[in-house]
Parts: sequence; structure tokens; C-alpha cells
Amino acid sequence: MSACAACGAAPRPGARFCGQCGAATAGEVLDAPACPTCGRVSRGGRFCGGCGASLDAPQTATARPAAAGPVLYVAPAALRGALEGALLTALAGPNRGRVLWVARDDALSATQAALRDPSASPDAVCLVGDAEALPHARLPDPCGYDEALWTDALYGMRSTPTAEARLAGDVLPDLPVARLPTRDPALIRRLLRVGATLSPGWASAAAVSAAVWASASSAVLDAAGAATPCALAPPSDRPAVRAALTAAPARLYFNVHGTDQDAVWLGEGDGRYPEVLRPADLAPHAPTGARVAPDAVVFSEACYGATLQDGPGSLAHAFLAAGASCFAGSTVIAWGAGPGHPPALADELALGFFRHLDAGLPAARALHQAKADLADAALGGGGGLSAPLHNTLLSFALYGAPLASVSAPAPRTAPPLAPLADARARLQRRLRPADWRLLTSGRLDLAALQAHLAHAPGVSARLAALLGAPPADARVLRYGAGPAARATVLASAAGPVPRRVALELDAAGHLLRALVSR
Amino acid sequence: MSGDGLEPGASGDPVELEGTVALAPVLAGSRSEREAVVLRADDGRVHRLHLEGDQPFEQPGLRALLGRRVRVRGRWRNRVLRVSPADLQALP
Repeated sequence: MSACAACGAAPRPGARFCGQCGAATAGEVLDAPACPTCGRVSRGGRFCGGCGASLDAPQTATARPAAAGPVLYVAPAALRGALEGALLTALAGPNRGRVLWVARDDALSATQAALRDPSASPDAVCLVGDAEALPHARLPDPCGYDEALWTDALYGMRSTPTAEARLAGDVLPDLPVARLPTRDPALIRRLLRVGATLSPGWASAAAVSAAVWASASSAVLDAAGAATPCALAPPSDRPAVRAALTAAPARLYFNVHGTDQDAVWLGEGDGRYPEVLRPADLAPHAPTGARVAPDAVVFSEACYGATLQDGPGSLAHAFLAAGASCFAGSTVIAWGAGPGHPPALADELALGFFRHLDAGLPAARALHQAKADLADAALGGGGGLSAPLHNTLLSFALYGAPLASVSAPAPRTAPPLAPLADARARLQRRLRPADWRLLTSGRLDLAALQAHLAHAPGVSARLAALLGAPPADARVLRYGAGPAARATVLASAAGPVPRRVALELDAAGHLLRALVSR
Repeated sequence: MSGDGLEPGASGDPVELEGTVALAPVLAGSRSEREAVVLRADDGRVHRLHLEGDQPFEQPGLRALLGRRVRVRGRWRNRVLRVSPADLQALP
């Protein structure tokens, strides 16, 4: 068991990443530790993925992790003349690294080839440029709603996993990935100068939530230790949110609607969808007076919150142009808790991101670790990823300097996830075991399959034939509506070589195709 | 085929259609599940509509045309048919 190559800390047994600075442990497989609070076995990180308790002794503000290693910057060769000066001068600062100039249409394969080079060992990848100059990687959307699942995560992988491998859990990049989503040299220079200067904690913050998601938003804020009042929309609308932003908050949390058709975020309640923010609200020197602090961190759960299809007119770009240092959001439809439900997916990702950021992890690593926590929790039961979780892990992107971190990591004095754990425990007590299982894992007993499918006996027989044994349970995913509705039944069987089967059924329950793991 | 069961074209492709403006559930199961304005085209296909400048969720401009036959000319964007007000013509 060797010390972390980046910061020298002693590695936690079983950790894939250093618990101090987040650097990869180079695939070292060690014994897994148990959380001293809840006993859950953890795969790494500084906090338990089960209850959120700290796995470390409380840190002090002076116990800063050492600076992480160099960054591999991936920049479009077509813009080299415009960007090289800004990049080379900025890379002497806190986000040091080297630049890989790539052709637009070859960017992904060139980056993955560079990551396979054993002589190179970056700690993070940072894409430079907007989505036109350096496109997101394109994957099929297993949820079926978006034309494509746009992701930057593949730029942190040494190769692209198959769709089957992704749904089995292989979605986390080998390295955390960030992007400077602009071709403006001045903005690139400013972002790359951001080091350990991000605003810590919630002393100066703003939170906006769709009224229908108030409970999940409140749970996230409570668990994050934020005393910030959450503006609910409705009744809040654009003028109200602009007014909240005149205080120049340094931490912003949005749990609102977004759309792929316009650069606007919206609330929901009472059958209304009031607008809460447009890029014009953040324009420098706008008469509205709305602004953000220069060390601001923004997390948006909005669908398409991180889309770059509107270029400089997108909200993500507007926040960075307005002075924010870091923005996290989704490139496609974001999935989170429905009305009245406890936090899920994007809600949990937001909470994990802020927790890891406040604990001192660099921004890109904080988002990466939050995703790893979600994946660990899902995969701990032995199944794969649901399509919404798959998309959550791939679609959320970090815009800003990859090594930016908070100026003063907060000491941990209490398990930060206790309110969430309590909410889950209360809900679990209220539900029948089968319902809880269905809610938390999407799985249902085969005996209950009858209620979900028109031809359940035939489906069960087909699953057993393909698996070589009757499965104990199954998962049903539904897509579409009316005659075009589809259902996918996923089942697995344990054994020396675990097998997984997916049956795709039409609206009448007839088998369209069967897929078996290789 | 989209998850909505609708049948869109690829982003950027131009399209010109006639049909009836109606409401249909979209994005079922997601947090954005709602009734949205669609075009029931004369060929039987159903497409989500967005009118440029219209509020994208409440869609007051398009809802004013519910039940009307229209001719639209626009482009696809992520499975949605985008039209400008000038390219949306109500038919008698």
C-alpha cells in the first residue's frame, strides 16, 4: 500500500481515489473499509456513501490538501492562433498542465489515445472551447427523449465503453473532466487563474426551486448545512430572482425547469411555469443589478442547464461571463425527485458536489466523486444502472477550472447526510418492503410482474431460458406512450459468470427483441 | 422513435407540414412530463411544436391555435419542430 502520488497521504484501503486530494490510486485494489457510523463498506472518498458520516478525523481549515497534479488541456487546433497565448500564459498558474491540440472531428479519439499513453499521467482533463469548436461526445439516449446524450465524460476515458457496459455501470471516466466552454481568451485566462479561491460554505448564497420540488430542494439545502432561504417559483418569478441576485451571491443552487428550445429556466406550481432566469438577467452592467460574486459556484439541476447549443447565449455561459468561477449542470434532460419525493439523482448529485467541494476537493474531482457515490450506491445492490441514473452520471458537466477549490475547506463535525438518511428511513417505514424495493432499485419480484406486464408468464419463461435459471427479480423500464409505448424488462442471474438479459416489449406486451450480456 | 412515441426528424433538418394543433402528454416519467402543444400532421404523425419567442412550457402563442389547422415551416431541434411566427399559418 503506497502513499498517494499526488499529495503523499496514506491511501484508504479499497479506495479508487485518494481520500485527501482525489487523485486516482492507479487501480490499486486494497481491502475495503467499513464506515465507523453505519458499517457500510466504502469504495473511497472522505465520506460514507451510506450515511454521509466523515471517514476522517475532523479537518481544520489549515489542513489543505496539496495541489493536484497537472491537467491535460484539450483544445481545438482550428482556434490555436486565438487561444494559444491565453492558454500558455494561464497555465503557469494554479491550473497548470499541458495542451493537446486536436482536430474537431478527431477530438475524442485523439484525447483517449493521449490518455492511453503510459508516459502521461494527468490528474484531470479540461476541454477548451464551446460545443461548436469542441463538441460534446455523442451517445444514444437510453431514456429515448433526447436526440442524443451529450457528454464530456468520454474525454476522461481511455476508451468508450459499450452501451451494455455503460448500463452495467461503466460510466465514470478514468479522470475527472472539466470544460472552459468559450473561445473568449479573456474568459479563459480569468477562469484558469481560479485556484483555491472558490467561496466556501453558504454564507453568501441564493437558492431557487420550482415550488413542486420544494421538499427535495429543502432536503438538499438542509443536508448541505445551508441556512439559505429557498425562493420557490411560483410565487417567485424573474423579478424576484433578479432581486435575490443583487446581493451578488457566491453560491447558487437552482432546482428548476429548463428547456432545449430557449435559454430560460422556469418554476412550476399551481399549473403555472413562471420564468425565473434568462441570460439577459445576468448581463454585466444590466439595469436589473443582478450579479454573482467572482468566486461564485453555481449548480443547476435544470434540464439542459449546461447546454451549449445557444453558444454565448446559454445560461451556463452567462453565469461564467457574469463572473462566476464554476458551473455544474446537465447537457440533456435532468432527472430528479418528483413532487413530494425525497432527493434523488440530480438532487443527490448537487448535494454530493457541494459536500465534496466544501471538503476541499477540486471542482472537477468534487463532481466526479459525487457521481462515484451515486454509482456506488446503485451498484452496491449488484444490479446495473437505470437509464435515468446512467444519463445523470454522463450528462452533468463541470464548466470552469478543473483544479479550482474552496478557499477554506469546512471541518466536518456531524454526518452531513443525516437529514437525507432520516427522510429515507421514514419513507422506508411507510412502505411495504416490495414497494420500497421498487422505489429504490426499480426492481420487483417476479410474482409482482403480472401486474406490470400483459404477458408476464411468457416473459418470465423467456427470461429463465435466456439466463439458464429463473431470475429472482426483474426491473421494468417504460418508454413512450400509446401504441408506440415500449417496456424493457431487465433481469440478471448470479453465477460464476453473471448474466444479464433485457427484453424489449411493445405496447401489447409482445417481445420485440432480446438482449443478453456478452 | 423518441421516448414520447413521437416521430421527429434530425436536428437542423427543414420541414414543412400541415395538420391540426393539439395537446399531448410529453416526456412521460421525467420531471418535465406535461401536456404540450403538438402538431397532428395530415400524414398521421405527431410532433412537438415550439414557436420561437413563445414561453416554452406554457406556450400561450401555440395554445391560442388549439384545434386549428395550420401550415408550418421550420426546422427540427432535438425532436421538436421549431417555427417562427412568420412561418406558422392558420388555415381556413
